Amino acid sequence: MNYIIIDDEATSRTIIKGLCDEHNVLNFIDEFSSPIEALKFLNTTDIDLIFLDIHMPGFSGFDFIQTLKSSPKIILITSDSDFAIKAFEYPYVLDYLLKPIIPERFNLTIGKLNMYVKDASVSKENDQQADYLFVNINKRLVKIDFEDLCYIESKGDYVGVVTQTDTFVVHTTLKSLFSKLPESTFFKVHRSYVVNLQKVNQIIDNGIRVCETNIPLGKTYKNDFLKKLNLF
Amino acid sequence: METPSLDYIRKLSKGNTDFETKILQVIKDEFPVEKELYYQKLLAGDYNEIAKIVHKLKHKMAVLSLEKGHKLAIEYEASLKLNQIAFQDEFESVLHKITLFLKQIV
Repeated sequence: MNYIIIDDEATSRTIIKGLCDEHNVLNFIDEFSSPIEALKFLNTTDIDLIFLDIHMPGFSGFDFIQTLKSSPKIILITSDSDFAIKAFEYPYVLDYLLKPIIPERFNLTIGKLNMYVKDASVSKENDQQADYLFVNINKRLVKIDFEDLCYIESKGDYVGVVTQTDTFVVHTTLKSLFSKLPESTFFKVHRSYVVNLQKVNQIIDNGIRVCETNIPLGKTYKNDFLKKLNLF
Repeated sequence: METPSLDYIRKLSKGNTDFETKILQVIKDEFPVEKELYYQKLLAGDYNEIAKIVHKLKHKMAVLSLEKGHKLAIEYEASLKLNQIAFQDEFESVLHKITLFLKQIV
């Protein structure tokens, strides 16, 4: 798991990194004294895990969590036990460690993390076997068969899910929804679009036609997209 | 009388002396800056700002195995958040102990 540390105190960052170095499952990527700098970094880099301090000047750990668009697992690290209940209101928060970190307690957290990784792996295998997904729309779970799905489109904090007969708007990220779709059939053709390859009718320069809708084909995605198609 | 020690750092390092050296160097770099900032904020008289820097210093007290000093810092921080200033002398005495300790170690 690739991880970063966000803590305004260098001593704390050094201790966390030292404890992590004992666990092969953890791969250090970077450390940040400023949560704002970390957010900029996360805009361009995918991370699996964040060790996050709560008390930081100007922008607390909770502010940080609320700003996140992706959903890496978070381990909160703080000197105060007062926020424990609040911490678990956030679904991304895996654990809550108190400073000074007790090594034995830290190892329990990593044990918990390992269990999560195994569960996620099993869940992904199950997802790959399914040929549909359920999306939450206005507190209703709506079943969408992959074969009916034309494309999905990022719309800020929402994703438009377009089938042959309906369009749904779901509160999630394109990345998150894309991860639920089978790689063999669905392909990202633009930073804001993922299409069902079975529904592609035409390719015209920098655009493609999917279910009678024109979709932009991003330059960085074009070559890989063309390789996926059965071109003659 | 409680004095700083490397007990907690050694527990963390499990004999990894490079790790011990690294933590100590970071503390030696970071502590004087935070201590200086503490006295600056104290002069300015902004209790909320003093509480924030006490919050950071109290972690270093714990890392240097100053259990009583750490508890004292918790109470000091809590009093500052209530716009009171209890335990100032005791807290500053702990800061002084840490300063001397960090000068002694290589």
